[in-house]
Amino acid sequence: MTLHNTEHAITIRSNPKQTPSEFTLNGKSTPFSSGQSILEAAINNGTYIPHLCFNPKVSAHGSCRLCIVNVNGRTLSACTTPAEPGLKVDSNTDTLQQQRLRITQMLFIEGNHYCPTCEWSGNCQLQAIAYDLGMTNNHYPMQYPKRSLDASHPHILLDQDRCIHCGLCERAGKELDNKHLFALSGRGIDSYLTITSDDGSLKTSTIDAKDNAANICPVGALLLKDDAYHTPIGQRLYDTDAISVIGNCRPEDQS
Amino acid sequence: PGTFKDRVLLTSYLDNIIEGMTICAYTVGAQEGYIYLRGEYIYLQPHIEQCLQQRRQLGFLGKGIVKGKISLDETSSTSSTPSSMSFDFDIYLHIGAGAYICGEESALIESMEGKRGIPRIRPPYPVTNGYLQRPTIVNNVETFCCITWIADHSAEDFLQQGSLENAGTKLHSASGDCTQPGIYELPMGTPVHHLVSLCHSTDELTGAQVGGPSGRFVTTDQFDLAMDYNQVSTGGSFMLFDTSRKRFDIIENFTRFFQHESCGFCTSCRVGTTLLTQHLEDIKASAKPLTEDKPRCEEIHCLATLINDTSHCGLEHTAGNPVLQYIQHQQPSNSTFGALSNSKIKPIFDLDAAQSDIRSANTSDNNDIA
Repeated sequence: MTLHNTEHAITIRSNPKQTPSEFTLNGKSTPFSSGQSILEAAINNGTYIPHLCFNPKVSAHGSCRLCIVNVNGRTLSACTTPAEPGLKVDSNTDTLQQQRLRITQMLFIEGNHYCPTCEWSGNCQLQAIAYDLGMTNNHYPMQYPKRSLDASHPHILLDQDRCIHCGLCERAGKELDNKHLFALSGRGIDSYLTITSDDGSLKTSTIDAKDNAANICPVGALLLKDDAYHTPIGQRLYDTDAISVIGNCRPEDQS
Repeated sequence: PGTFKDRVLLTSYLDNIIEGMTICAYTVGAQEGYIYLRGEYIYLQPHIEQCLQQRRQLGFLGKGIVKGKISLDETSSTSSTPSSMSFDFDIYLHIGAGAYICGEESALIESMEGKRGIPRIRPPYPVTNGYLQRPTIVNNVETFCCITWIADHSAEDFLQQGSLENAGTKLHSASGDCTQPGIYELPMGTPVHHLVSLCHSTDELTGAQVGGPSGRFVTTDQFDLAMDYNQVSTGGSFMLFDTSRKRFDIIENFTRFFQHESCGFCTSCRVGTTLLTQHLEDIKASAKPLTEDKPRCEEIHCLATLINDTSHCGLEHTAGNPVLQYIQHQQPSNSTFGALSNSKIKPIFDLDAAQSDIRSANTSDNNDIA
């Protein structure tokens, strides 16, 4: 899987003054800069590793588990493992692809993901990865959790049916917008996203439609209102190009 | 689960723990120490606070602690008190809120910082970036007691027990089907059968769960195995089960435990342990033992392996162990295994057999369990 269109997709954190070192990725010698994770180095060098909770603009999370790779025999998430000289990394073994498929299926059955009516269908990274991994069924039983919907804000919608607990909105708020807008709370399967506001709703939070936090969700959980179904089917982000080709991005990155 | 040695140490050997922490602080140059007390032990708070205060009053904690052997009546004091030999160190008590995952060192630190108990991304490790990103050592209270013992005797004396690679003694919390449960201090490398005989187990044992739910269910034919860092590693939990206990109920209990204690950070564990628990509930409710349900057996094997291999933290690298070991030990002829919860009801209609044709014709994913 090679990454063709790297310009809009990634701003890689790297220090050009450092001497690049190399590690082995799928048998290929891959350079990296000091401080880069295996995932960053891989994407920078044209090798796509599936991921959802990683975005180069914010710190790594390691929660989705899709970017798992074999590093010298151990299974680790590529986004949280620093690239080091001499590492032997495999990112596309059959076992890893199978594990990624199962993890993606887990994400689907954990929430309530109704693609046919979702406003983000066609732009959704979860959906795109599912297609890319060849997912044809759920495999696991649907959990049908009771999740909340917050439409109180005039411009932003939060549909927790679709939340994959990636924490990108939380990190973008803290690290880019300087606002503590969201926080993942609770424990285990009952974890959920909370909103920092007087009454816990989006309406009274300090979020703005122009915030990074409001424009970083990889799925259709945190959406801008009045923006749905504008693009015809066939012209949406991942309608013709696989996510392994164009990478994890948003429609606005294309323009 | 099954470990209560630490509670005994905190209750009856608190001075040993604090002394060990103080020695450690002197050695590494720390000035602050914390005792992280799990929420369930909150009743120990007054006792611990009192002991800390007492030691402060005696000059064993706080500013200007004097290095060297001091007895309370100071007749055998071997230390003088130049300021170059004194150091500052104090200990504070932090109380948790009752989450198993907060026993993991980085989740413990997160909890101390007032955040959700979620294991951190490593590297960096706590020794460089720990509590409030400061260099931090995290150790069990038993380790600090060992430090005190070694400082009071010698390293050579400590090495008299166990072996070079598995040095000293280990505390075991023994419980379950035995008449002499309790804490046993034994040399590292003690075989399982020795502890079994010490706690007077009943004759008809199925096995011993060594190392808690993350550990290993040692069957009676393997009781020669040594409890050390290599053969059967253990944090001290030791539970005996006799033949009246159903092995399935045990693993269901453990699997449910992992689901309940999952911090929920990563997909594999958060969803995986939930699915695993649901599978076991289904098995229990059905009249068919796992040995006769090959597809389900394979499915839960895959699921448990997925959780073990792809999770974020060490805890969940072992969450699938109870199920995996159970499947490994499956003996169709042994009536202890299997899950006939209601053997009075035997369905005359086999649902799985009736569906087998349509299942195999359905999708390429033949692991579907309806």
